[in-house]
Amino acid sequence: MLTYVYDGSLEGLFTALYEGLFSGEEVAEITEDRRYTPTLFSTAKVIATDPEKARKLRRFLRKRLSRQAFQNLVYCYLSESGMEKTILSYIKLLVSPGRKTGGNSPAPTRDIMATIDAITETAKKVAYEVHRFHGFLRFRRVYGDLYYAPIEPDHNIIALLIPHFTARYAGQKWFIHDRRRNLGAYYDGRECRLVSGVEINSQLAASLQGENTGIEDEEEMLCRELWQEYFTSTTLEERRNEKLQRQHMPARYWKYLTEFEPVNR
Amino acid sequence: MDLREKLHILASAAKYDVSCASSGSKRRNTPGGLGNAARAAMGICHSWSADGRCISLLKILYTNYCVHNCAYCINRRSNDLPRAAFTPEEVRELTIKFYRRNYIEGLFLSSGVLKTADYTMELLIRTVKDLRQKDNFNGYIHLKVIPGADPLLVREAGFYADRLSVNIELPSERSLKLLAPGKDREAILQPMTYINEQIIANQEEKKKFKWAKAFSPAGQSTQLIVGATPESDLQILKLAEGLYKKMGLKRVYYSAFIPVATSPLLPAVKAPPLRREHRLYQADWLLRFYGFRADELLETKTPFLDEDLDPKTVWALRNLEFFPVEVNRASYRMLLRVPGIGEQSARKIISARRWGTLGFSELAKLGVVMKRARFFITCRGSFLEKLDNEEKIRARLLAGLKKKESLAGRQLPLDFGAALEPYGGG
Repeated sequence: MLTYVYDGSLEGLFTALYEGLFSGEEVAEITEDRRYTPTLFSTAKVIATDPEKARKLRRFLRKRLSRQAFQNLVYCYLSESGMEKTILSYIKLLVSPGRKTGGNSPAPTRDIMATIDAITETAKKVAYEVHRFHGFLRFRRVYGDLYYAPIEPDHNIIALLIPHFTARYAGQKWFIHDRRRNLGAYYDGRECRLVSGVEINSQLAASLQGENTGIEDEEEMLCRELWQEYFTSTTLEERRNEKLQRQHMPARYWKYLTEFEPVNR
Repeated sequence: MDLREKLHILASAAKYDVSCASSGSKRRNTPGGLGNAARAAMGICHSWSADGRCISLLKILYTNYCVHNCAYCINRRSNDLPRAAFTPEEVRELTIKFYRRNYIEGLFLSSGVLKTADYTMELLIRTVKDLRQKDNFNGYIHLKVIPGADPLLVREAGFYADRLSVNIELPSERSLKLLAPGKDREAILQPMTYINEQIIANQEEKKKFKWAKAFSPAGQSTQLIVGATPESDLQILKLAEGLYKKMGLKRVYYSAFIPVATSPLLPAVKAPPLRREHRLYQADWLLRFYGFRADELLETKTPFLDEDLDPKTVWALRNLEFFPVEVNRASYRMLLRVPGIGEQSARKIISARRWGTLGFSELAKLGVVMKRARFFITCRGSFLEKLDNEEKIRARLLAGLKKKESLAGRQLPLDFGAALEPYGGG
């Protein structure tokens, strides 16, 4: 039982997948290093991230897989739900010679169906969370003209949020902060960059630019009050149905929703 | 009066309008501008209020002063309640502030009638025009057309709004005369026809000139109140069918009557007829996406939708001669008519059966609701459960529902959401 251990980056995963596809080794599991626990029967092989191999694999996949299939496996990686081995099986399946010739390919067997189902289901979950956060993300104005949005998504979706918010808020500076993973997306009015770890604080500090107006000003608090006023005023008491509300908007997303934030005056 | 108080009054006054769709427009952001319309087929819901309705747009009235005295409306002239009016600047300020913080997808602006229809319409237009031109706002705008306003004003409005709507209010002319003496049906239908003509003309123009300005690119919608007047579901669905076919409407919204007033003209109801409203929405979907006609769903003998079972199941039970349907051979149109098979699962069946024949377990995986479909389909010629008697099937389906209800409490999956508008496109 051979387990590949990689460093958790997409490049690292691509290196491991490259090895898994072309080394001829029989891989039983692919695991991120911080999740790896040795077991009695497994042998671990540490895969050192190799940008060259990762690049080759990316090119290979781009050529051989449909756009949708390629996107599916990147989404599965971002789901952070231990899908790495399934991703490898999925790639093997899609690039196996039987598929290419088409025509009389045998009906898919149960485990082939299971692999495809697992990949598409997981990718769908990630895509759905991206869609949800297009709505649930809330900016607050801090430090003068920076709009700051803390999030804690289930999956690592911050990079997938960038296109939508860049198009929509092209004229304002914003910072989306994944507080669970300590990742940030900073848009300075021209372009957007992904930042991580210590860089986040320095980035926030840099955007202060001397205008120290405190974390939130009077206007921001007024704005929150107005929104909360709207949120309650638009409710039809005759149709009150909190269960339905929670069904659409699960409580785990409430933490950073302005409408539920206490007003501290 | 401060802004917060105005917002309280004018959001409370607007909440009875149920439309909140934010899809179907492809408006892009402009250089230095703010916002765009959601490009995906689905709109974006930003929140859900405690009644379970989605919040996508900032839904407000410009003013709740009104010259009309419609019996069903909370803002009628004779009702004693606090009144307020925004200024165009205040509406703009709220919209921009909320939009910048990603609270909302855009603005839904309606109004009571102040002085005259034209005067009110001009105020609304000034507001959205300034939003577009002075604030460079490119988010979604849904604008109500005030019945009786000049066609030239309606035309101008269409170039700033993503969607226009005129509320048809009540399902028949008689009811309208009775409950809304100040409004007449012609004044409502005439702008609807006009908007439709403009939309069609604009689509032609856009084919020739790429940069022609879009006129109400997300189409038009309307809403009517259900349960305030005696019309049957058949009449309502016939009306909706006509509006979809002849007027090219994108949506007809049904609003369960909430007794906001006591009047000898209104029925005494304790709670809004939510279940009836829900069934109407289901039937509406069957009209728009499933190829049903109104007179297939209901007959003059039985002009009301079944409260206990959904309209498609009821249709299938009345037309058992079409069943069972062999899933491995049936056409897409026929698959759509099977209870438990939706648009998505029908499409999946069609593409999956190219790989080989489908059995019941595969169907369940494709998203077919087997609880309902089982009585109406065969796979490779065999039944999962063979019951060829209408009464027996009905009893079984109802038993299943009862069990679910006792487990979950009485809940209706009511949904008006933007997310529920799967097809946009101008």
